[in-house]
Amino acid sequence: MNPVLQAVARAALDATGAGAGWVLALEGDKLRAVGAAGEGTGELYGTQLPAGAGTPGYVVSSGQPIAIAPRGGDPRLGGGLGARLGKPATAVLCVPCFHDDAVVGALELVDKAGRQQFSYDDVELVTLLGGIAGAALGVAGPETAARPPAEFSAELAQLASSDPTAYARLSVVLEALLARG
Amino acid sequence: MLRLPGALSLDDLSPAWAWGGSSGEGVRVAVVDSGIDAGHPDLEGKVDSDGGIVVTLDGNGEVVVTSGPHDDAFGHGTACAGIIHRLAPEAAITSVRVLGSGLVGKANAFLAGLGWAVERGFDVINLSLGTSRRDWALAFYEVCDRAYFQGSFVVTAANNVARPSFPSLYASVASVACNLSKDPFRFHYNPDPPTEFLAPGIDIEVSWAGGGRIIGTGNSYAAPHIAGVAALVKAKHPELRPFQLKTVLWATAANVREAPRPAGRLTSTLMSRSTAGGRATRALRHV
Repeated sequence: MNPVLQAVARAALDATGAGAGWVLALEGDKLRAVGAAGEGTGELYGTQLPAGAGTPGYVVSSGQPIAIAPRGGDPRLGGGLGARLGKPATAVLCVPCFHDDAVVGALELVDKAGRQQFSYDDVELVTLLGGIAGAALGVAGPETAARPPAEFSAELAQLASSDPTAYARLSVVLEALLARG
Repeated sequence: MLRLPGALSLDDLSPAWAWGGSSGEGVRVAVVDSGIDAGHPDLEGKVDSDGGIVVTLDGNGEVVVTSGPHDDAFGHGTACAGIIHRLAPEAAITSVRVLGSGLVGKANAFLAGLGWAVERGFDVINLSLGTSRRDWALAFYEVCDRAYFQGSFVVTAANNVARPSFPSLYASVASVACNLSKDPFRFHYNPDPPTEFLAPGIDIEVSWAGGGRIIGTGNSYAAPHIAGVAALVKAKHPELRPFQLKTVLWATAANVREAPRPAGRLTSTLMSRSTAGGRATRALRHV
């Protein structure tokens, strides 16, 4: 399992209170689980889904993040990997992972603590984490052009100023990534 | 002084003037999305099932358009249609399905579906999706310009991060993000474009494929709110062009109407804090 993607999934769980989450890589007409965290997700690594299936299928197709929750316990919600956990999801949050201009996967979370719905703040934060996952998914070798560190520094400084809470959460992930070398 | 039909000045652009008494009758709305569950009870038979299309790609990647009834590949299109119908119950809704199996991230499918809706002169086109592919930017720019000049009002969901998403960046469309309101008619003007309007999109009960409902959050649920209001306005004032529709939406936005100075003054006080894209929601936490 990719340690960076696993760290991203774990960070997303910790930041939102989700019960489980995974990063799905878009590989042709399939989505494949390449990082996961949370209860019961150990068996999900490598699982494949049709690229157009369920919530992640919609997200990678539309490029739009989405958060949904069943009303009245409707069990048809979400589909995809969530169904493999053996119980219907109480809430689903899924965001696209971008690399350059392309959607390269999705980051999906299920079951926010307390059977709550994922909030708009959760959507925004997980979208940021989805960007990190996208960068990790998209790194393919020396021909990939990385943005200069100064650009990231400027954006991080702006985020720290405009949204200290989001920056604090993101810094935890960055520290974990840097610690792994 | 700007004069609009039936109005003396911008100050006259009230919600009552704009959409009072309107049901959306006579207006055609296209929902470019994952399809629509036309039989959903919430839609009350207002979906033109026979008039819709499905856009697919053949083995060579060429666009194929198939007319006629179709289902919702995911549920989101039904949600958008439900929101529009709730606001404009007599508007005719047509599904343009561009999402589904085999269409993952295919910008040419989006473009073809949007182009089809523009060619057929839909009054309002809801597009709760987009592409970040810069190589398609010009093509979307051109079709949205065509829509604008022929009178079709395109409403898109804004991206919630600072990443280009086409066509939501274009001045020819109305780009929408979420506000904190639960009142479907309480929308806001965002003074920091390209997102120009904020509408309900957080914890919204929406129709879903299969006949049920779910709770949804996202800019993609905010866009159909503006599309629905636009349908009401267009039904009452069919002569309005897209730029006039935007003016009416601006003047009837909650923060403009509640500003210290009348909406007719170009120096009306609006939000002073800088916002960006979907993060405009934070600027309106006190509204």
